Amino acid sequence: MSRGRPALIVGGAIVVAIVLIALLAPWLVRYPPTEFHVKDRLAPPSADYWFGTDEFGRDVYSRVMIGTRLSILIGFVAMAVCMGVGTPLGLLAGYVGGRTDEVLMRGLDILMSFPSIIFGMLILTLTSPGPLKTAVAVGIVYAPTIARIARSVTLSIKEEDYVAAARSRGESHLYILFGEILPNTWAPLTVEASLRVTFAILAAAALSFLGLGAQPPDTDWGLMIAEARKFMTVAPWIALFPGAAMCLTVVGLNLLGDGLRDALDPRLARRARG
Amino acid sequence: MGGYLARRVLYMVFTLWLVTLLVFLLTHLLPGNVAVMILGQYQNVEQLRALEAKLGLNDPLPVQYWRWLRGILHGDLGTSIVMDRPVAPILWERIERSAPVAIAALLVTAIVGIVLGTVAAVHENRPVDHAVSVVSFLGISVPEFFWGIVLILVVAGYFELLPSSGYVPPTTDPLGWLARLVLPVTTLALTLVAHTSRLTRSSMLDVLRSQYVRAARARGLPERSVVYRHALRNGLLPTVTVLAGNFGWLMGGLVVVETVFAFPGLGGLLVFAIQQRDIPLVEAAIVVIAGLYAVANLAADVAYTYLDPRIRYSGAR
Amino acid sequence: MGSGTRSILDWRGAPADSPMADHPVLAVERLTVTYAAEGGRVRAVDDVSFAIQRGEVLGLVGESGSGKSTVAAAVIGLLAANARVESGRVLIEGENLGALSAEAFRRLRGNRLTMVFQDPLSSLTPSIRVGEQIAEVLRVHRGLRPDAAERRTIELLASVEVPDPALRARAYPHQLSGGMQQRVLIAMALACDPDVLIMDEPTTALDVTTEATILDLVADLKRRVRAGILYITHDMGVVARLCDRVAVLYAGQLLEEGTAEEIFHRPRHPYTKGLLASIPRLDRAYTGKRLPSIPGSIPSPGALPPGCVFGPRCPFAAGGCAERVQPRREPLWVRCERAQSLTEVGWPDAVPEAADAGMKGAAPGGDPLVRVKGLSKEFQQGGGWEGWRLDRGGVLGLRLHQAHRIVRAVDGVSLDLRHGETLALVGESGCGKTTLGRMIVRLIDPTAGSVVFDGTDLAVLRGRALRRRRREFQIVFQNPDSSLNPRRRVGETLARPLIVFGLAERARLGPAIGALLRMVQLPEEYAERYPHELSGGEKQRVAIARALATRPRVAVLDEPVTALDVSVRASVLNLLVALQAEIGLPYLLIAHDLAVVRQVADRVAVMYRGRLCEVGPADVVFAPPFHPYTRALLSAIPIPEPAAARRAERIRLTEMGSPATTGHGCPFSGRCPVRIGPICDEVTPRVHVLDRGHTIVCHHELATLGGDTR
Repeated sequence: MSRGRPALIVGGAIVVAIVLIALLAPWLVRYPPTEFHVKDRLAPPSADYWFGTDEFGRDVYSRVMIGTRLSILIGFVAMAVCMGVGTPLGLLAGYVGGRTDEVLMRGLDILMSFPSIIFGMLILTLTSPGPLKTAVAVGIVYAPTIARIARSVTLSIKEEDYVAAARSRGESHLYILFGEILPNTWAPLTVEASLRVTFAILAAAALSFLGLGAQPPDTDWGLMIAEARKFMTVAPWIALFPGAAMCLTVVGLNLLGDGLRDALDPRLARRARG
Repeated sequence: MGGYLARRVLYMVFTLWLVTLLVFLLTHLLPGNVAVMILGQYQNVEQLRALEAKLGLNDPLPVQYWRWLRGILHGDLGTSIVMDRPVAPILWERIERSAPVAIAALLVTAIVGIVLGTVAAVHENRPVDHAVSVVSFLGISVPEFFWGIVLILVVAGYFELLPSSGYVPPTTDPLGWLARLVLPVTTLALTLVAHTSRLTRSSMLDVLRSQYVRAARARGLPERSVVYRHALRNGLLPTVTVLAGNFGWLMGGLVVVETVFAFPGLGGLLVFAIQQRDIPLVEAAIVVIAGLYAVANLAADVAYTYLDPRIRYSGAR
Repeated sequence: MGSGTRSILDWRGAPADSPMADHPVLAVERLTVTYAAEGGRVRAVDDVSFAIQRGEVLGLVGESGSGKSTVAAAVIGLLAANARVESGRVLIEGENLGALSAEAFRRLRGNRLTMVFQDPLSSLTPSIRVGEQIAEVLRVHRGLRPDAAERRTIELLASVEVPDPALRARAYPHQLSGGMQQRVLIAMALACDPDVLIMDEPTTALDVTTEATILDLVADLKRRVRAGILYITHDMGVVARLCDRVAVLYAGQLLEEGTAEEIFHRPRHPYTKGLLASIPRLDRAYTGKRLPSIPGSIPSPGALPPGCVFGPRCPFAAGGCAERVQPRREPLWVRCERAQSLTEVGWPDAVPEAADAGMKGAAPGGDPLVRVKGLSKEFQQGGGWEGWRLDRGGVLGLRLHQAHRIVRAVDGVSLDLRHGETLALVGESGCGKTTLGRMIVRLIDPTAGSVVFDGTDLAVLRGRALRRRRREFQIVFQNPDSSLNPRRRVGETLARPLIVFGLAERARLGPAIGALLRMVQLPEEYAERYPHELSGGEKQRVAIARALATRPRVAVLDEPVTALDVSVRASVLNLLVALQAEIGLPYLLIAHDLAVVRQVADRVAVMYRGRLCEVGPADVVFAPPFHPYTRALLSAIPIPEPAAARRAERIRLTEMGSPATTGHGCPFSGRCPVRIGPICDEVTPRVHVLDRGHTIVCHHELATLGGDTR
């Protein structure tokens, strides 16, 4: 959805708001998130309990607020791992080429032949489940995609004459990679990264839903939804609110990504006109 | 073209072999001794040793690996620890159940996604395009398990149209079987359709702006011909590739969806196997899944090659 | 004479002797097209009017930003979404296209109004066979049945001289050569016997020799076809060859219009004069190698100067030129107030720099500075994963093995480069000249051979020794857009070589950069700018400054002006010449434009498929005796002068023949018009050595190779 400027602003606003909530969560809760209010169990949203209560009488609103922290953390860690592992590998493969490139790409192909969630499941069962490990696992799973993109961007930049000019000055490989190539890869990579972050967050949420992410009594949205399944018919709000929060986050990130893509690409294209 | 195909198949086999290696290594890093798990708590050292010897757990890893690999090539996928039965029939039974779901989801995705994406591209910036954009945007932003839950709530719970879980074989109750497929397929398809339509839209837009489409219009060809004959074939190329990638996602999606709908299929089996640390089952299931994914990728490559004559007849002047 | 403010195209009331009196097949009246850009709408085409008669070719000449392609798009009704026709009309046989419904217009396109585009490969649908694409046009517009359409397709292909038309029709676009693809496009455009044919730079993407054959085809078609042809180009030589009348566009405005004879021999507008004067020509010699040039650069559409668009660059500009300029209805149509008073005045010659006088005495030459011997470069095609093939035979009935194809991009080339001289390396695309140039600066490692420079063989140097020598040989690349890192300011780009080779301490960088900018005639403030803020010519100057920053002793110039606008080329060439005069720097100039080479080079080496055909001083190489390839090249070049262009005999070469060479035999034998026989295919030709280091590599006797081209 190329809506340019508005997308960037709205998406950015949402993301900023959610990050703020994550940071300020302890001050935004109305009740301690793990506190049981047994006589108000399964209560619908009301003035006392803005999002209602769950089967133990815990305030859903407070839990959603606190859950923001883990969910955002997971998302960002996943993105950091994904980019941090994928980008250098892709840059290396693209720049060095030859055998290294082939070996790296075959290795990545193997990794990519595992469906992401399944690979995540495997890793989380080998080690023990946990939110941070979920993030790392998801990051590793999506790293090959980023690596491929970084590699193809590097390949095309490598052909540019200013890189050849640097080589003709006898510049070191490190300088060429970091001084000439890398600065020109930010734009396309950022666009792709913003897309992948959302996949990562959704995948991490799925793993949490399967019980492999945050473990009780920690709260994250995926876990909340999983726990709420049994009560869908009698108390749908327990699942709906965390679900809505998750959707909002992803929508914000997607808008941001789309807006970034429109902001970065046309500018680059327009500049090229002499 | 034959040479290219042969190379791709070889490459696929090679990759699969590496996959088996990786799976084997990973699963054998799982903490816990298999023999201990089988015997349970009531064991003594001799029984343990005997079982270990019988299962061949004392042999060096490469030997165990080779034994396992040989088994696979002969169709013997090992024996499940927990269920104490050969793995292959278990897997097969589950695949038979999940396959219709997966295939139906892919078909729906392909058809609906491509149609929506093409329509949106052709009517760029008009209301239809905006509508499709909004819908697909939502589709990619909502996790599939959430869709599933919402669908259960609305369709099964509120309207009571369809059963929300379980499975009946098509032979006993065709209508019931079908009814229980609808929700899982829809859940899977929602996300996939969204992705596919976005991708199709953007690649069709690229093609519609390309020089050869412009040249075709300059020849006064009717717009319908320009879109469906000249643009579509090339515009669909990226979608074909992505459909194969979707297959991989689908496997993961199956796991989630089958959990939500309590559908006893391949995904559910995998979850069960991993939780129970049933190593042979896990190994076999993952290898089978990876194999299916590799075949899907190969099919996509072949389709791509068929669609793009530049690859089919490369360099033949 | 005449009223200055009436529309030129009021031809219904035109005097009887006006060229517009006949009923034109295409009439464009006061067309203005704008498009949306940041900060408002921008005019791409401003009040342009012209008319074309049947059987006539009108050349629409312009550089980038002139609006010529926008005019074509407007006529055929395919403007981009953000562009629109603000005012004016387009009439075909008196019918106003703007008044047609979309459906009626569509029926007109491809039928009575057709277009041939610039890049044939990207104008053909890649997934449909070419014959089918032509047949489709016939079915849609003429309602032919499939078999009749197929027959007519083959006839059409034959009429554009496609050999083996029935076979070629079944090919996919990527399977055909560039020239062949363009013929297909032309056949498609002629399929329905159009009234108007627009050709938008159809030969720009083709090699010179291929271009010559297509131009011949168009000249021939002109006689056979009833259409009025609008031929869009920036190449004056092509205009001279083909066009009956010429209209000159600049920055969206029509500056001058007239017959070819008038435009070339009695240009009125200063821009036309400047353009014609600044184009290097094979049949002219220039003093001190300097071309007359047009200063400055083309204004961008959003930032046009007030008054006359050409004013800032015009040497004849006077006070009134900064106000609105009206078209004059004189015998000749020209948009310049001062044209009348400038009738006899030509474009000012180039002023030789003072430094030239000093250098005149010291002729380039002496012992060679760089000796290249037997330099070769082989590429393997199909290595790695791709090279595996499955064949029958072998142990299991199937055999897997690696099949490579070796392509010799450069095959045993030997050259000398002397102090202060310019050695031009010419050839068409694929001849290996770029590879050779890059090997000399060690951007590509040679497979064999030596490059001896100051006693050291550069080809075998490695590591630190190589890095130290690198500052002595630098390269300027062809494409100014890709030469400069878009994320770095000009100053940073120029500082880098200074830092790397320790040529200036950090504190003195500023002044050093300033000096470099001044050397290439750019203002010092440019150090703060980013590349996207510079024009093509300015970027190329920065690239030159960067190359010269290390005070190299040899500079390789890889097609330095090919990617620049025509009006800017001369000034950049002059700059290169001046710099050489000042520092005595030898150039290896890689080029495919022989006219530029004639202008600037001392010696010339002609390359074909990786081997040298002919080497020698410029004046000798361009005179008989010739290597057959040199002769064909020279005859293919369009001369910017109508009578000469049409009179010239062209040597026609067959299209690219057999694939990679075998290593012996003459690489040109497959296409040589005077091929002797199998000896040319199998035996490496001998080297004739003539005066002043002139060599020709050919089996023929020298006597046979003499003869005139012009």
